[in-house]
Amino acid sequence: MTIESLLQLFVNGLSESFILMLATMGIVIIFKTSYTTNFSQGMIAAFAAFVVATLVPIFINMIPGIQTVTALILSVFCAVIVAFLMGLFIDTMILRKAKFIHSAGKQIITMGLVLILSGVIPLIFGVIPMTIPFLADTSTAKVFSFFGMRLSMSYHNYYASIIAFVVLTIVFLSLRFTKWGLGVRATASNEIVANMMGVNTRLITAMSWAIAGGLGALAASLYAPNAGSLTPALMNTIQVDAFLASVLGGFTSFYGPLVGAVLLPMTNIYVKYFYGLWSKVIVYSLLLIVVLIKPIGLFGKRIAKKV
Amino acid sequence: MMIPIRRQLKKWIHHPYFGFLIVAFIFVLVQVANTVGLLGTSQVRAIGLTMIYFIIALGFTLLLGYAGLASLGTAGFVGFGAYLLGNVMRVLGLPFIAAILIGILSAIVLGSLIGFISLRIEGMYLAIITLAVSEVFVELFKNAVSLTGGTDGFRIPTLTLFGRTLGILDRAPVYFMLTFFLLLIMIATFNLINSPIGRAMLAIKNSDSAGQAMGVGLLKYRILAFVIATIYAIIGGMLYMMYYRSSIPDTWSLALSLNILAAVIVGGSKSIWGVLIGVFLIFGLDTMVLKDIQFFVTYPNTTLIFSGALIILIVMFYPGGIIKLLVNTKYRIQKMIQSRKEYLYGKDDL
Amino acid sequence: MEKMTYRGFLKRYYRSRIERYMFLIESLHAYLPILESNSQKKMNQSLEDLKVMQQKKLDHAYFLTQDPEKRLSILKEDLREKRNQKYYWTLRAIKQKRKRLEAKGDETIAHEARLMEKAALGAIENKIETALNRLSKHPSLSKPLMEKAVYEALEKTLSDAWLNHQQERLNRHQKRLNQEKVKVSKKAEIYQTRLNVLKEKLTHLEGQLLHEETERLEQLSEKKKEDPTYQAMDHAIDHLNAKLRLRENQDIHLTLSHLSMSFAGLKAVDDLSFDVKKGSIFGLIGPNGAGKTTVFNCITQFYKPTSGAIYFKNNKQEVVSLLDYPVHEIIKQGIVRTFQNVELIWELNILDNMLVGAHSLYKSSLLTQLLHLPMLKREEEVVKAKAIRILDSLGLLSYKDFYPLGLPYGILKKIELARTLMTDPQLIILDEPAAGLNDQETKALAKTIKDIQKHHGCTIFLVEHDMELVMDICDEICAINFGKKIAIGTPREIQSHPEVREAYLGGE
Repeated sequence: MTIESLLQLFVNGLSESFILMLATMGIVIIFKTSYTTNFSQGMIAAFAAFVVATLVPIFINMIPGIQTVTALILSVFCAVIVAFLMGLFIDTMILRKAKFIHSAGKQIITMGLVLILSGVIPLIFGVIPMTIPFLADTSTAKVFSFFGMRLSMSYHNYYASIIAFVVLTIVFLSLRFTKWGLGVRATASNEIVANMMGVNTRLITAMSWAIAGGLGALAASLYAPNAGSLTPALMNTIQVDAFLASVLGGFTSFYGPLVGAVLLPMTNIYVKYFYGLWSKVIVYSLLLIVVLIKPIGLFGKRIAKKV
Repeated sequence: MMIPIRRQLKKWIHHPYFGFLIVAFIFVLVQVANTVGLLGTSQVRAIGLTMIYFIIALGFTLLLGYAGLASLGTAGFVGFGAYLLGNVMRVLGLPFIAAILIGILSAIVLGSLIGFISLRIEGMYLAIITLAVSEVFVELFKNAVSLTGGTDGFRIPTLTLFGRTLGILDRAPVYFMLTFFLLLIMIATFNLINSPIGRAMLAIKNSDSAGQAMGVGLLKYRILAFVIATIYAIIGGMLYMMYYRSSIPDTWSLALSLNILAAVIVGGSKSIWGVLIGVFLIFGLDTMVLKDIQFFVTYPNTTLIFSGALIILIVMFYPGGIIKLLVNTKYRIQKMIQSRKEYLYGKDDL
Repeated sequence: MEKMTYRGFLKRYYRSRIERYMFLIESLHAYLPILESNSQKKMNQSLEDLKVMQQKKLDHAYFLTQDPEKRLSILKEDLREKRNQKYYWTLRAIKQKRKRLEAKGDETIAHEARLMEKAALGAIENKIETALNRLSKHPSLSKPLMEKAVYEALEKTLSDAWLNHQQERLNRHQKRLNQEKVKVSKKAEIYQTRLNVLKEKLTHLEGQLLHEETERLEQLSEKKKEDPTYQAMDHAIDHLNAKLRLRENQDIHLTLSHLSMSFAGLKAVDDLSFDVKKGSIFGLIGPNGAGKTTVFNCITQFYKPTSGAIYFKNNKQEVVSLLDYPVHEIIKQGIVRTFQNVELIWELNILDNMLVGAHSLYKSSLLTQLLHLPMLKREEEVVKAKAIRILDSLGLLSYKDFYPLGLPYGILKKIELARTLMTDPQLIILDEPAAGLNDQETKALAKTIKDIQKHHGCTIFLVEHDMELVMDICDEICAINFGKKIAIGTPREIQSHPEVREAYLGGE
């Protein structure tokens, strides 16, 4: 149990955290603009992963001499667009029509979507197992030198972390500095008033769904190689973790859930080192206790209600 | 003597319990048909499974439709019930009654815990937290190999019930017990719904300030709702284990909780008959009817599309559920008949 | 706090036992009339059935006493009636068809329609005639004649049988009632004795407490004399004084003493004290944001006040501090409230809403309700009867099976008022009852409130904006602004009070 091994654990958990942060960001954006918890986030992401897995061999066949990585990047790009469109479709076609139903009804609609998608995926993509290739060769690993200690991380995880970090930064920056970001924050704080102030809330909400879909697709593509062959239940654990991270961090802010998305897998990694099999039970129980003590989340703000 | 006898019979027929008796009777007939050879075993197994889901869904109805509390933890509790029965009966060798009592006690404990939690956390956050609880249970099932057999599963080859020893294929007595429990639970749920407790739950669901001003304690009734729902779930799980004699942890996943939710919402979240229809639509259809069609054998998950689409359609267009649709249709047919009568016979007092 | 002491516990224990016995006695007595009417109905039903059956026999016998010609005419009459019934719908259909064709306006069609009707009527008449003619071969025409004496004997037997049955039924009914009454009075006696014992113990206990409180007051006054600047003592003394005042003075119902409520530093209610007299209509007025709703919520324990005391003489005639109770136990002390935005339960019909209003009165346990044991059925009947009575007294009976969705706002407000009466409360707190009502409705509301006060003898505490309503019906008004009391007195005094004018009435 040296500092090196502890830091190594930290490095091991980095890519998980980043991927979880992508997924959580998707959940948070939808929650803040549509005031719904999107239970179908994971399924849309899994759908996108299947798209990637189908497209990669197609690209490889279509374009001779192409590298796996390039094909992968192209496929991911396409899948992100597909997920983007799916998000748009869901918001405009389904949720829009159900505008008069309170948020519980919208949630239930997303749960219905989960069922639909998990049935559609085998229909469209068949039952033959598929995989998504790694971003880089798994035989070598990147090695860092940090204050004289050797920490290693697989190239795939390394690139994945970088990609995720870049994407997240872009999203955060656009939230803070672009017109769209301002619109999102306005809609998040009060949709009706934002609408009256000239913010096109419909467009904002639709775009949020689309972007969330894209983020989920990216997360799935980065996560899938580690998970082996694809199933519709690919993103189930990540989705549950994303929700829990959001509750832990507090749904009222944008950065709170992301902090939760780091804390959760990191705690899991460390607990797993010491307790192995029971790590998940312990981590979830800890989370429950924290949430009980502070129900609005670690960084949540209480909004007072008038009786 | 005929007049009072006829009047009394009419009263009995219109009594709500009568409908439940008919349903139970039909279920019994199904098993009889199977023993006699008229109905295939797989069909009967499917019906048995649907009955178990019905019991679980009734608990969920009380929770969602009457107390307005969202919980995605059902599957975990059902699994808990299943493994609890397995351990009590196979490992400890205690009789069935003991298992039921232990089950009810643990349901009270677990339900109260979640009830307390529900006071701190509301609405959709509660759904997420109960989801986490369910996941914890599944992890426990997977890891506590000594108690649950882990991912290999837990099996009960022989079962002793009321003195009779039942081999692995002898499912009929358990089926009859299932029907008996089903009847009891239907009656109990009906009683609760039409009692001050049911009204109190609706009160706090619609307006917790008004409820409290009228003396309905928020904590007490939320805990009560959770405890009852958990008792139903655990009993459902125990009956599952008794009927199927084996269980693997993967059964108790989020998909099951979502399907139960679907059954309740599609059928009608406040009606026992609605939930019956819902459960048959969501669980019964694929296991009984569609199973034999080739398309559905190669793509077993397709029925999920059906369930999911139903949920979305019902929530968007008919939030009252299918039972409301049926009731409205009946009403509309009555009106049509009425207007036809008026057309034919004129308006005077019909 | 009193709640935590052993004596507090004992008090609560005694009180709950007394409550239980009082409830049992009351429900025993309340159920008797319902039982009686049910039994009466069954008896009448049975007698009617017997009568119907006897009449049939009698008619047949009468038939047999007549000579063949008369018999034939009776048969013909019967047949004609039966046939009329049989062809009733056909006749109506024909008539309706003719009407429809006539309505088309075309004279030829109308004429044809009338002809068709005539023809159809004629055809039916023929059928009836044929059937009537066939009657002459009816077998019962040749049955032997029954002597008049035999008939009269039969009549007498049947009527005797009926009278016997009636007598028997009456006896049974009476016996059952008497049995029940005896059972009830026996039980009631037992309960009453136990009740009296408990009451004695309770009075003794309360006497002790009163004594202690007076002592404590003296102690505090002593301490105050020693150290006049100790302000907290002031409040404590005032609280105790308020409590004693409430105990001794039969006129006062509710007392607020130095009530303060702050939300994160903002003082919504600041050092508010007043007495509410029993049986009066007390109004709390003030401009928007003055803190009226906060005061209200503090009294009903939706908020726990930051400091101060609230004492109330509850329905068991003892003085309690409302702060000791959580919000859902306030109704048991005899305080009910209405809501500014009508908070009825949308998923239940009006009658069920009323039943929920009586929720705190139900004593059936979980098991009883799970199994729908007779005790629950009895309780439900009693409560239902009460609900119907109250709805009727307010003229709302026709709404009882409707759902609140879609009913007029004024009616909904009245229903909420009716709901509060279900528990026979001592104090009714109304939250802006005139909100959203026009002048006419407000006048009706004023009358309703006054009626309730007279009939049920309760105190009414009103929080209101509408000056007319307040000045019209209130016996005493307290005006607040920025959480502080600025005036208290009769409507006249308030109207002429300069500060009130400035703050509220616009400096007229």
